[in-house]
Amino acid sequence: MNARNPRQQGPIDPLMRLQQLEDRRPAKAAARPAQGQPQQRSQQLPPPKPGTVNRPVARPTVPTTGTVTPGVKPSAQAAARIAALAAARGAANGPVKGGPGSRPGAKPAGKRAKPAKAAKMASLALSAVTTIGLAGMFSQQNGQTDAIVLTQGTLATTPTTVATTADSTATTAAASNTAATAAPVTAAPVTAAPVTAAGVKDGTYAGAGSSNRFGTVQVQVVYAGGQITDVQMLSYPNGDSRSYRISQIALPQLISETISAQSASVRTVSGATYTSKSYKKTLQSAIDAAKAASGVA
Amino acid sequence: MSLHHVEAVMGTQISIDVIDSHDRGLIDELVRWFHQVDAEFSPYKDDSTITLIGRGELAPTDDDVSDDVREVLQRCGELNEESDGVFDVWSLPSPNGTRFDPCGYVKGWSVERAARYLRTNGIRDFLINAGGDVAVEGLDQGGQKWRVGIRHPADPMGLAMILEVEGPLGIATSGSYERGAHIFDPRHNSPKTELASATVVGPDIAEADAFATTVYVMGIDGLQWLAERPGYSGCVITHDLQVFSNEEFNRYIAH
Repeated sequence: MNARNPRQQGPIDPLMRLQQLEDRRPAKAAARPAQGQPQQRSQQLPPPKPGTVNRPVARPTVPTTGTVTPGVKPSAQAAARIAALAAARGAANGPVKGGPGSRPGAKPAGKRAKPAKAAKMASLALSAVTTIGLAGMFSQQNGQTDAIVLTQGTLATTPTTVATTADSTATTAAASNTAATAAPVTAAPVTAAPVTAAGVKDGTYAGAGSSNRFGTVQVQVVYAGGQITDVQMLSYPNGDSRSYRISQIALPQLISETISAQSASVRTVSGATYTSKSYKKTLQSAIDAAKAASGVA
Repeated sequence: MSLHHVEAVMGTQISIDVIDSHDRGLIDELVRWFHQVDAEFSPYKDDSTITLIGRGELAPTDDDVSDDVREVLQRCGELNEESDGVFDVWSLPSPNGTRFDPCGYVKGWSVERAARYLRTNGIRDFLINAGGDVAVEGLDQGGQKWRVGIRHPADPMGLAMILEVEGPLGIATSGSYERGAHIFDPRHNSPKTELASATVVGPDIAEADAFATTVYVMGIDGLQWLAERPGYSGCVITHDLQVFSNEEFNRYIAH
């Protein structure tokens, strides 16, 4: 330990430090870091907040985009999901051949990587092919604004190209899934749907399920009027399912189990702010104690 | 050739790791800084600038208000606009009895300042964790990427996932599991409970901290809002332990 600084004598035990510091008053006039002062963003204050204490809270709600099931009543939606889930359960044991999740070879025009390549780039072991199919579809649904978040290699090119890609894979799936999706989430008919200008038949398409350490994920996509109108996440093995608007967000995954702290060997933990009191119950405190015990300080 | 220090300040614990220096003066300066921030910004302190402003006893334009406070207020005002009112430090039930509590920005902001201080002093590899808000710079010991755990919302000793990151990067998490429902949705004046936690990563930990709070309040939809902030991405964990994330976030997840 460094003798120059008496406060640092002895190992740094977080709890001991906490005790020591309990009565310590912060040095109010202490100098801020002498260097590294950032440029002030501006000396101007924000617009006056009249009546800050009793400020009206009425505000515009968050703008949302890409709502997938406009006009669909929750009850109908829930019923549809149950049916879809049951159907997908059947499909899970034998992934649909030719579905959006099983044909990674289609390559749209432009710079987009082959789905197979994009799958390698996806950092999570999701249903890679399903992800690719969706990524392409995302760009169709929301146009260029989605490009910033899509997995590298699956950025939007043109909607037509994307839709064509989806079509070639999804149509087959529609045939094999028609019976399984007797309760479509949207009003779009599952069968005998017209081929739209974009080239995708209306219908419900299921991707193959895939497993990763979070659990197994399967996704189902609903097309109407050449657009994706809904995506259902069919998650296994707990039987939970969830519908969610799709743009800009990766597929949900389940935390099937907590990562053991002992095997994790992390250097630090990000979590909701703990208090000095609850700190001792956190993994971070254990990490700090271990560092102190090993003489890192 | 490394430093480790834990300081109880700002109502939480701040852990500091410096890999490429053994100059304790750096730690001393950071400790001084965090205590200064505490004295000036704590809503728990009767005489802090924030409490005085919240009570209307001090105007933000007053000469006694430091540039630091002005900077924080300025950015909080901007964030309020950018989030369509979701991030709102003027509509929170503050510990001092007022409705003004900028803690959702100040903690991350103080870490960002501390990180800049270390950078300016030539430190290339370090980590600061202020109560769960993490700033990393460079690499960990041995040139390895920093392994940062994301706390499991239901288990204080467990992790939901591990990120492998290279600095400069900020990682902030908001959730209700630590301090109860202290994050309010100003739109409904009520605690938001759709999510168990929201984690945001990005170049500036001050921004990441505010964004994490915002996304947490917005719910899963917040990820779409976050996707419009260049350089920032995140993941949210629902109460039923489903994880949603931005595609950009997934590259950080260790396997």
